[in-house]
Amino acid sequence: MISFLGRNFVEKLITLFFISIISFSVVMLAPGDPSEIDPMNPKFTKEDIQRLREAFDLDKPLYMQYYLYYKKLFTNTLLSYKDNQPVLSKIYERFLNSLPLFIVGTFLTWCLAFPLGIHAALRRQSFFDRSTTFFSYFFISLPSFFLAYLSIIFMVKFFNVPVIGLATFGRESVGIWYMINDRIWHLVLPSMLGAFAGIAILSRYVRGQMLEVIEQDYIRTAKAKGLPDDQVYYKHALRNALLPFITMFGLVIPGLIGGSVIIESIFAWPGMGRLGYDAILARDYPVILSLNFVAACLVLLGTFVSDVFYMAADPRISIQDK
Amino acid sequence: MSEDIEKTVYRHDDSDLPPHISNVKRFWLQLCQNPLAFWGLILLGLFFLTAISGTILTHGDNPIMDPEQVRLVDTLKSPLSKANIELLTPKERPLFDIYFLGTDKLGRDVLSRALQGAHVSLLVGFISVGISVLLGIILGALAGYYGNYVDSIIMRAVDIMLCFPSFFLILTIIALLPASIWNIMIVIGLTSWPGIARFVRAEFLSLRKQDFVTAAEALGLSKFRIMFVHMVPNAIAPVLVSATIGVASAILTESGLSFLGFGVPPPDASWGNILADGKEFIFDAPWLFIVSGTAILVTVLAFNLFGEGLRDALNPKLREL
Repeated sequence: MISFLGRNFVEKLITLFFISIISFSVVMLAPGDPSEIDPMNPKFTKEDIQRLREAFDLDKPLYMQYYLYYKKLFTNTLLSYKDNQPVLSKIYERFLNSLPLFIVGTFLTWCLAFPLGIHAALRRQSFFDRSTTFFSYFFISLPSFFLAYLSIIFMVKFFNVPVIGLATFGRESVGIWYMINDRIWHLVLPSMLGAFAGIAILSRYVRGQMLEVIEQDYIRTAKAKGLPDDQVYYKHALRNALLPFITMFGLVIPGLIGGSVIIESIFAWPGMGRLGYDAILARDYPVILSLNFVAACLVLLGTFVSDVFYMAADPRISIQDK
Repeated sequence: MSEDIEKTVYRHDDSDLPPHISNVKRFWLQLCQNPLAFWGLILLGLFFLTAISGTILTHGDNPIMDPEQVRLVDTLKSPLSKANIELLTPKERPLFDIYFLGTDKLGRDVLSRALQGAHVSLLVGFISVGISVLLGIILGALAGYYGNYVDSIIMRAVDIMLCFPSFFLILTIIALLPASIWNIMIVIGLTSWPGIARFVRAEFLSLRKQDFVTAAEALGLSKFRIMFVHMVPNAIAPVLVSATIGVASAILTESGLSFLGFGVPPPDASWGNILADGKEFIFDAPWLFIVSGTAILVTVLAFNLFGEGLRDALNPKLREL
């Protein structure tokens, strides 16, 4: 078991090294130079450009840039081109903002997708199964921003609540109860919109997994023994059907950045996705690069943790490993 | 003795066997059994017709419906409104002098833009998926056939690709490259091959042990021929399914990019950029938003439903006929 973990960890480290190279080269090999951001400005002399290039290590060869970049990133002295703030602190601050959105969204997704998927699998080809199938595909196929605009109009017209931003501006001193209420209203819509597609996709997986498991021999045996249906499905079948979802937990993390770019832009939510979008618009290379890198690290961490959980949950893995 | 065997082998008595059904027919019957997939296929047919007629109507030097014609006297007209005939030159007048789906902020006919957009969406979907399928099949086949270190290297590459948040990576690359529709297709294609490579590799691992591959190797066929002529056709089913769904997600990705301002550059219309332009006029001209949004929804839904039906129809486990 220890050797399995060790090997897994070393593999992840190697992957991380290649990720660092790819995320670095994607940005650095792009045409143009960050110092040419405003070439028509007459006040921008050659000496200024040289000074800027030196300040951000742009005059050094690529491998030195790579080395300095990651050295600075890990010591938190890597500065953003835009506002000279340390990149890692910036990302951390935005990460804390994204976190509630991510947690509520993931919570909604997992709490709704599993009952829906299991129910649909147990009543295969019923009206419920067919309608959940249709609506899953409906929500997967909707462009998220289309739905976002329609639901903003709906929420504001029918409930008359504020939905844009993290909290209502200028109402910080109105009492704790109001503030909590306000935060919750702001959280509802973006997290729900983020969860919709997730629920649709995950419930399809759960359904497929459950269908596969209830075809197995041991389920027939359990039924033949005369166990009540509930016990067969929820005790014997469900446990095995849920196993693969432990590994999926690591793969939901990219959603923290990738999936939230559009939603966070619409709702002016100051999270990681929004930070990435602003950085792309401003060609703020250190931030873009670090975001890609941090996201990949989070995924690796997630898959590592889920590998460990998987091993704890499924005894077959450690037997195979001997 | 040998005559007996011959008799047994060549016995032409299939009265107790089920009637023979060809694979294509069985596939078709299976597909028709699933109403969602069937309607998906019909919608897809309509979409292809729209895209083809859109190409014919809106392309060329002097198109029947010009999607780029700006008419500043007729901005933000509602659907089915008549064109302002007195103020427009003959060349500027829309087909039948009616804006069937209204006009946008520059007075461009939304119907002709949507028709051109169908063509663009189709192009983006198919070329990007074509790239990812090609890459996925080649890399998956190499990994599954050779195994060992080739397999480890390719699978590591797959793992690395899966670690990046794909939409953000696509957005980054698109934003840094010069704006062009071809860059979008190539980047979407280059970032979405890992799933297909995984499927092909899994199929190849089981095909590798089958007799026909051993036979082909014994005949001294080249490895290239064994892989891509003999094995790939047997591994194509899951690829077809994920390619169908891939087209859907490529169209969605393009619309997402358009929404953030990095999509198909003007003057070309895509449903994504009609929708993105329409969001500014959501109260004054809701048709811009509704038409393009519904078009994307219906097309993507059709691809997804058809892909799901395809999955069921190609799955030998579910074959009951």
